[in-house]
Amino acid sequence: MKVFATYNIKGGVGKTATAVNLAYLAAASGARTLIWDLDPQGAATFYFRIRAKVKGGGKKLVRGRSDPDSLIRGTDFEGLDLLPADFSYRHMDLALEKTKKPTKRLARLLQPLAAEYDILFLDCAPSISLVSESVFVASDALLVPTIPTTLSLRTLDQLRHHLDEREKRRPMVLPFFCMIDRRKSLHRRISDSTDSSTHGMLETKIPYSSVVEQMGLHRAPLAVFAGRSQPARAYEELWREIGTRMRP
Amino acid sequence: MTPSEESFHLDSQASGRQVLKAIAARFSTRSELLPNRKTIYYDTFDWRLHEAGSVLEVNTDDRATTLRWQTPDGPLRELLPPDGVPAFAWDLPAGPLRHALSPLVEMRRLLPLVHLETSGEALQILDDNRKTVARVVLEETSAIRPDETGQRQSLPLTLRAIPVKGYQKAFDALLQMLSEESRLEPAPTPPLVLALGAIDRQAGDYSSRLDLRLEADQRADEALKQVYRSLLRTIIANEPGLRADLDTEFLHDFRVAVRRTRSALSQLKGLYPEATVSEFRREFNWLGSLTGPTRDLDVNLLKMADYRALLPEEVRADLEPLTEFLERHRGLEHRRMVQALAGKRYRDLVERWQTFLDQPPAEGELPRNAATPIGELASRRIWKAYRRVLEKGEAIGPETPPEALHRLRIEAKKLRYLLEFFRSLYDAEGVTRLVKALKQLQDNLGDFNDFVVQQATLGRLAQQMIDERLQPAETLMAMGRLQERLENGQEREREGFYRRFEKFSAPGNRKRFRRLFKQQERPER
Ligand SMILES: Nc1ncnc2c1ncn2[C@@H]1O[C@H](COP(=O)(O)OP(=O)(O)O)[C@@H](O)[C@H]1O
Ligand SMILES: [Mg+2]
Repeated sequence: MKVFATYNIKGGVGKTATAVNLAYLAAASGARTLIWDLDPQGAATFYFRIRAKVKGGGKKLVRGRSDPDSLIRGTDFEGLDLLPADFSYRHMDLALEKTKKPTKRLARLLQPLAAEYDILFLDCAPSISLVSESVFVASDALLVPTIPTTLSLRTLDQLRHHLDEREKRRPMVLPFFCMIDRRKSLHRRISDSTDSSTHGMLETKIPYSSVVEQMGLHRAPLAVFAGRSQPARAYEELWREIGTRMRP
Repeated sequence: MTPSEESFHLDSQASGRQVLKAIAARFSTRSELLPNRKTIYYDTFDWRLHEAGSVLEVNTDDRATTLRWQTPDGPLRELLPPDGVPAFAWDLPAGPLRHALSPLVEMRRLLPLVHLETSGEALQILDDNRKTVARVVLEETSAIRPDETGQRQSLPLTLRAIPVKGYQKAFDALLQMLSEESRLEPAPTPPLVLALGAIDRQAGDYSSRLDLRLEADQRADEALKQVYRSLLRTIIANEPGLRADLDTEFLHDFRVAVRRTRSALSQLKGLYPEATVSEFRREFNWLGSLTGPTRDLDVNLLKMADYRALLPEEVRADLEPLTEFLERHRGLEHRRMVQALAGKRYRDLVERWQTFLDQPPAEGELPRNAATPIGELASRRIWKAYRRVLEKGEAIGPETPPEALHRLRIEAKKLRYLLEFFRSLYDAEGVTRLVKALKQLQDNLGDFNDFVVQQATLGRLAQQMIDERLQPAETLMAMGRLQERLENGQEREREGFYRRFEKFSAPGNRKRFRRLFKQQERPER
């Protein structure tokens, strides 16, 4: 099972949009795919029309008192399942802290899923904390949606630096530009001039488009209601590129 | 746990439509486009997957090609590249499925049993968020023979109720409605069985095992014909796969059946006119030696993996030229053998043997054992063969040359064949236990003999390579090292021999042999 986390310290940068659309594409290519909505806000859960849990389940799960399988729901799409968000994920840090090896906890929880799924997406909440640390340990690759600003490039460098400092296994870092607004000169300048050599950015760029915002209205991945739109194609291209990067 | 899907058979399109209508009236639904699907079921020629209670299928739709292996412990699955349907277990991508499948399938080819083509329509059952919580699929399927005939047969129209994980209640409601309102009964037959039936096949329709039902008071000459007919069926069944070179085991099973035939012809005498028997013995001996060289090379090639493992990592690649050499010679031998099998001598043998076996029981003056009840003859022969194994085994000590173990191996094999021919005449459990004990002894003797033969073979191959002016010094060196390793293995097996033989000749087994096969002394007729 390959584990991808959509990760960024900041919120509102396209993590959930990325996780939802890529998970759909993964499943559509035949891979058994699970998306775990780790954000108590439950945006990914909402996109798949699944009810978030109000309380309890998540905390029990983290402490190893319940089986993830019993919480998983099938989505509308064959081969794509979701582990719904839970309000108690707000206190995930606290819950993790109470476990024995907090940073390895998440990876342990994922083990039994490996037989069931080929691909897992962790849709993270924005923060750098114990949860993030757990995600780093559990993931094969971090997909980092990055809005083209000088600040976000610096944050990216910090993330890399942080990962290098750790002694643990380092997930691959795969950042890509996202929500590019061609009308903004800053976006244009940064996204055109930054190439993969300097910040290891992927080639594919996800444009800013109101179609993406409409996902909230349709409650479905782009491919379902706007398969030919520019951002839908950009996500396809992104998934292909990630595939080539992951190949050994 | 997700509940598993349920299938129902419908008698007509009209009744299918009606059920869908009833579902739509009862639940909130949306109809869904269903991509056409192709399914191919696979098994080995000897039904290894079926015998293990499992089903292997490759499904292709517009999205992906997926290999699915349903085992008694649950399903395993692997995505395949679009053109990547594997012929052998080792062609599969590394992973849990290959890991579990390889020891079962070994060197056998995965053969397509039957193709299915499925099309249909689907209804999604929705909750109040308009989220899919269950699915219903109405499917039409054709089963197609996987050969040139492409013969096609429709399967019953099927309605499948498919659960969505985490929505048990909705699925239960659907099932309840289908049984109570639409009065549907779950389909009794698994799809593979149905599909095979549609193309006139049956799972497990071949086995290399002898499965005979003999009666103790049957005339011996007639009982033996039953044995021979069964062996001839095995020979004929393996011919096509052997010619087409699908995998090595067609030839292997073919040869075992020939060898059993020869063993019976020479061990059970006085049943048929001497001239007839000696002619067939000569011809079956010829068949044995005709097919020998290819098998020997097969064995060498199958051993290459073990050989590599015996050598240090850095010299393993040195064996490559040997593999190539073996493959080239094997190709030549195989072609020669197939040519001969297409020739008159072989066709005559099969035809004359078949005619002989189909003749009505002989009358008038009979050869000396022909009218003996088979129960009596079998016991006499088995007892004698058993005594011989004991005698030869007991004579083996630390100083005995390897040839003595080789001769014991031959005697053990004769006994084994007799037990297999005649097991239906005796208490099944007793024979099974004896066969098991004998098999362990045979495995030890076989391994020992293998080590001896392989060392000689490697020496011979090295000489051949030199004669053919292949001069890979490193390869010859690696082969030399192998011989050394094999000698160690040979000694290990020899030490193991005493323990195995002791077990085989333990008082319990002696008693069992005596009880089953020892008769009142009576002169041979
Ligand atoms: N490429 C895009 N173009 C326009 N809007 C986008 C794009 N990607 C995401 N959005 C919108 O921005 C908001 C935040 O996106 P989201 O994926 O939820 O970010 P995060 O998960 O990082 O918080 C959502 O309303 C989403 O519809
Ligand atoms: Mg989010």
